[in-house]
Amino acid sequence: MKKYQLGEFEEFVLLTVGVLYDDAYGVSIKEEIEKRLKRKVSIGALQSALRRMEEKGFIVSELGETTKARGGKRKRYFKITAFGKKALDYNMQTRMELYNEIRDVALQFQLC
Amino acid sequence: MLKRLGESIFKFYCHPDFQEDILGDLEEYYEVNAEEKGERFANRKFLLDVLLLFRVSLLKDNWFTQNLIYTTMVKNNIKVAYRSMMRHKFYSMLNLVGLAVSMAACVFIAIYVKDELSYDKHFQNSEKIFRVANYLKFANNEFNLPTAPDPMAKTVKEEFPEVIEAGRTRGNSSMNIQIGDKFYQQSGITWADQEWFNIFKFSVLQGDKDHLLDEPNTVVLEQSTAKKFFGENDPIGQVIRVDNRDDMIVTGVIEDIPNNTHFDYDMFISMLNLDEARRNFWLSNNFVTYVELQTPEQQASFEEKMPEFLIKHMGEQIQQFMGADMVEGIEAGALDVRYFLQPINQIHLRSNLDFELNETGTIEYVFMFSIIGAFILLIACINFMNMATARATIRAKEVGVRKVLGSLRKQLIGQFLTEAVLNSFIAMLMAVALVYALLPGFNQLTDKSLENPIFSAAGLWPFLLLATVIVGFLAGIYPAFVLSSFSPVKVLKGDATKGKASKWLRNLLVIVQFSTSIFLIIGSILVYSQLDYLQHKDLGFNKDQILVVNETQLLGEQLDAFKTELERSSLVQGVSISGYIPATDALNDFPFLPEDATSPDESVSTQNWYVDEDYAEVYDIQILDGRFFDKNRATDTAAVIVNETALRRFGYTENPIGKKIKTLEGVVDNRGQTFTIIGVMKDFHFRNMTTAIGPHALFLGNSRGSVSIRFNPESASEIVELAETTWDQFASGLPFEYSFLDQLFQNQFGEQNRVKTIFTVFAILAITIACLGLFGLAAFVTEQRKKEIGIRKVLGASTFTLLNLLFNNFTKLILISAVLAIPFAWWYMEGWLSEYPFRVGLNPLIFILGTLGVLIISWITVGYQSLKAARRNPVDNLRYE
Repeated sequence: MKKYQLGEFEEFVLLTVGVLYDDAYGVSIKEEIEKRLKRKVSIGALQSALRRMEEKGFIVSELGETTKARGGKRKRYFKITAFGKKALDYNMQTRMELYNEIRDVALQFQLC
Repeated sequence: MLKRLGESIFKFYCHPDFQEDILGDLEEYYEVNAEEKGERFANRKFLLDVLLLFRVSLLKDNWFTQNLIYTTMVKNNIKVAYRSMMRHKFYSMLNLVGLAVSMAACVFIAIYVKDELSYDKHFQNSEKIFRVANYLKFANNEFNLPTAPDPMAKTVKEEFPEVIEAGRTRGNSSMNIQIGDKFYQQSGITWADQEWFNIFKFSVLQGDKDHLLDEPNTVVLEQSTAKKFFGENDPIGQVIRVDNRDDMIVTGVIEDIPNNTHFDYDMFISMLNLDEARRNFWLSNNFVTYVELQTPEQQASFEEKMPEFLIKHMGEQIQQFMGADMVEGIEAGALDVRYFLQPINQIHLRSNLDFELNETGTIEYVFMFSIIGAFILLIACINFMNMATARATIRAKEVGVRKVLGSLRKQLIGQFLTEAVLNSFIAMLMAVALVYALLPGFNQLTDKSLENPIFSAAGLWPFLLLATVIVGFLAGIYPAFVLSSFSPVKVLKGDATKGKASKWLRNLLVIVQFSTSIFLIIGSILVYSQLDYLQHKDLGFNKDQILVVNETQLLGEQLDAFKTELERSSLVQGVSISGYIPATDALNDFPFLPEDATSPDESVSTQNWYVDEDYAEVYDIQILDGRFFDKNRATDTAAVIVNETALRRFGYTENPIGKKIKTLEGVVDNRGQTFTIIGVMKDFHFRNMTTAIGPHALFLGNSRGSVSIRFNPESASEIVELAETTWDQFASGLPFEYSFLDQLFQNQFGEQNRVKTIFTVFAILAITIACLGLFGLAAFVTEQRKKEIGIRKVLGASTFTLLNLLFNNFTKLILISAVLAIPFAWWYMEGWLSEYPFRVGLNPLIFILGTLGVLIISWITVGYQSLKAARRNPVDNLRYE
């Protein structure tokens, strides 16, 4: 469990990185999350989550080509790793297991 | 503008790895914002983003994120040190044991020195407290006394503004104490002033500290004495009977006086009980007087005023009792009276007066032991250095490889130093264990009672820690620099280690080690022979088979009956009643003059002993001329028996029998008595073996403090029982106190025995450690010359030739050491011996023997290795695989 520790926000970021595949860098990830989840994402939170996950080995990054845009600064592209995938799977699986264990009766809501 | 500020803030805190892409992202937002909402908004947004971006995980390296010390390298160094130690377990053990033993020796010396230096420093204001001591000279008599006349304390306090307080003690005696129906023989009793307690400010456990001894018939007890007398009961107000005569009330209990004090009293009686203390007599010195000054610097002004002060007070009485003018006497050189102050915290080590209150140490010993300790440690350090340089051959390859792989010299030095410090640390742990194991023996040897000298609050541990590091550095610095300086190319080719310089240094170090060892061995042989000489020298009387019964004055009138009863036993050869026992410092000094003397200048300071008629027989004193006292001659009360020295001093060289000597007229209680010499006795050692025999006179008289019993040699086991049963017939429960005279004599040699033991221990230590080093060194040299030995053997060299070859070098070194050590030992021991009036000569044989001993020990050490090498099959030495 400890091995795959993944916070809620981290999980979203990781999924988004996966979704964006070869266009996952700071701005695009932020926009994507904001678009899909309809919530504001602070740059600081996103960046520190990215660095943290990189340190844990869920994602890797590399710097892109220099372009004229962005004041000549390179983009850092993130990619999900196999380990990151495992962590995602594990998270998903435990959630599904838990969800499936809920007895039907607990989910039958009636007006009473 | 704001954007640029934001950028620089961001660059300030953000880790450089992340700067580019995050800034890029920010730039992108900025561009979008500028296009959509205008530049001003974009600018503000940029700065805001930068500030909100602040996260710990994005920070630059700083003292938060860094390790405080880079431990990796140190860990590696320690690991390498451990491995190199384990690879040569035998040599590492040699090194460690040598270092540990010498460190233990040094720790002991440090403990001893620290304790010696701590004397009397525990008193509050100890630097302001002084003892009044004196140097007195009249005619040929000289005195150095720690005492002063009775009015001294009172008068200096009145007349000298510097003096805050002045107080006295008098004597240190043993008395009989009766509490209820129990008797105790209590020693360490002194008379003291209340002022004396005001000066020393002992912590008073019970009683009023300002009114301890300000009334007659009061006593103050030390805590342990109070416990002995009264157990758990409250001692205050209890009555104790002293010497079956005076009843006294306990008014106070003080904490035990620490051992590191120059006096040692257990019980204090009010000085008001002593009439003598108020006589206002300036011409006798019996009171140990202390003054407390306002500042320590006032010692000078106090002493400056002293001569005038003395002339004023003492001059009058000199005129009155001796009929002489003090000022004239001083100017003529016939009289010299000097009183001076001794800072109490220097008394233990620096004062060496005639009647010190307690055994004093000597600063010379403190210095000497410190030096010896340093030398022993040096020997062990040298071992370490020698082994390290000898092992350089092996380590050189390692150094070469490391250098090729990019090690810096600094790192190599660091590595070798770590190794050395690690070694010294392990050695120190062993040393501390050793110290605690041997502490009881040390306490016995030095007559101290230290329990936890290292880890207590004021213990030595911080110094020890520091010393460990320093020793490590000292031992490691040379190998570290030598080894790290090797050029990798040469080393790896295999020709850098044959440097002559290190061999020279090694030889020099071996010479230092063996000079020290030879010095110590010669020293201990000489100390030993001097002591042996003193202990077996003819005393002039027979000290064996004499039992001394003490405190016999308590028997009163019964004493003569006690004597007669003892004489009746077949075990007893003779009994004598006299408080004057040789070797007990029972001293009674008094000046005498030849009968025809006209001036006090001719007086001879003489020891006067009061004995009975059987004294000469019991002690086997030889009468050279005339006769001893006779019971049947009434005139013998005015007769005297003098020794040869006294005779010479009186100037009676021919026909002394019948000549007369007289006392000084007018000195208190002595109105010019005259005594006739009836016998001359052979000089005998009445005091101890370390002082010259002075003038000595025996008088017939009542001194009933002790009874000496000479018994048959074969009845030694029964004599104590006999004496005790006889004592009990007369003494009605009084305690029986006895000692054997030969034991009293042995006890006098405490100090000398101590020096002997210490010298011997140090000598053994030094030679052992030096030999440990030699052993290791021999092993390496032999190992290096393995091939040479093999070839020589093949070519026909005999075992003897080979041994000769291997011994030669060491023998040469040791002979050089001897040449260096012997003159120094000669000079030093001559100095030591010159303090003894009776001493052995410096026999050259001792020096030769000492050197020979060291030579033989080292041959044995080297021989084992050499013999092994010489007898090995040359094939084993020469074969490569």
